[in-house]
Amino acid sequence: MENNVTYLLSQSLKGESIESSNDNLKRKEQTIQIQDESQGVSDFMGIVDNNTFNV
Amino acid sequence: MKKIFILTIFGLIAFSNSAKAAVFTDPAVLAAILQQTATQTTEHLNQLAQEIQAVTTLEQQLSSTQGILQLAQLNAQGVDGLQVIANFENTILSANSVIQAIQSDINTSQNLPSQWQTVFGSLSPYIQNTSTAFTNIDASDKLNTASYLVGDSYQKLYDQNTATVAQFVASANQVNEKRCSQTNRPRNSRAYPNGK
Repeated sequence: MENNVTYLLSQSLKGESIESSNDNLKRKEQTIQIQDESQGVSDFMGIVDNNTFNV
Repeated sequence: MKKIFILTIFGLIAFSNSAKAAVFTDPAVLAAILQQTATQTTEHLNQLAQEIQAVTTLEQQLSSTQGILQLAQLNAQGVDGLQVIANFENTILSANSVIQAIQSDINTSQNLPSQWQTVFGSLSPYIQNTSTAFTNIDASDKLNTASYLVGDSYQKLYDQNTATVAQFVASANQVNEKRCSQTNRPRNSRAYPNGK
């Protein structure tokens, strides 16, 4: 009985670890997206000056 | 006579430059042309020259358009260096779009970068936040890996326990069979049918 409980708990722990890792992967993608957006706006602010509209 | 001569030249030029010159075979149109004065004919010749000039300009624009099309095709094929051009064009389009949206806050006759700073603010905190987020996510990933390994180690213990129990059951069955054979009693079913 205790052995079965150990098995179930270990499976539960492994499953939660995998789900948490998948959540972290999504968070990483969102963070990268925000970072790219911030970098894009920063580049925009650096590139676009009054001469841009004369092109 | 001079008028007719000029009209004839004009008719020949118009006929040779346009397939639509066939409309001059219409008697009504031809009569209208013949009634034109020399001044009107000169004006028409000038208009024709302007149209030729317009066609030439259009051809140049078309050539430029084909060049842009080729650039766009090369860009779609992923040729190095062209992405910069596309990005810059996108930047200009974005700038126009943004300025239209916040026209009351931006004055294009003044220095733009400082005005962008006023509108968007400093993005340094956002960049710093992403670094912090990556650090936290990495720590969480390490914790998840450790948790998985702990769960895996418990599962190995379960497998070891299961193997040990199976050995005990096999030994018990052997002992039971030996006892039954020594006492000549019929063998019972397994003493421990289940291994767990």
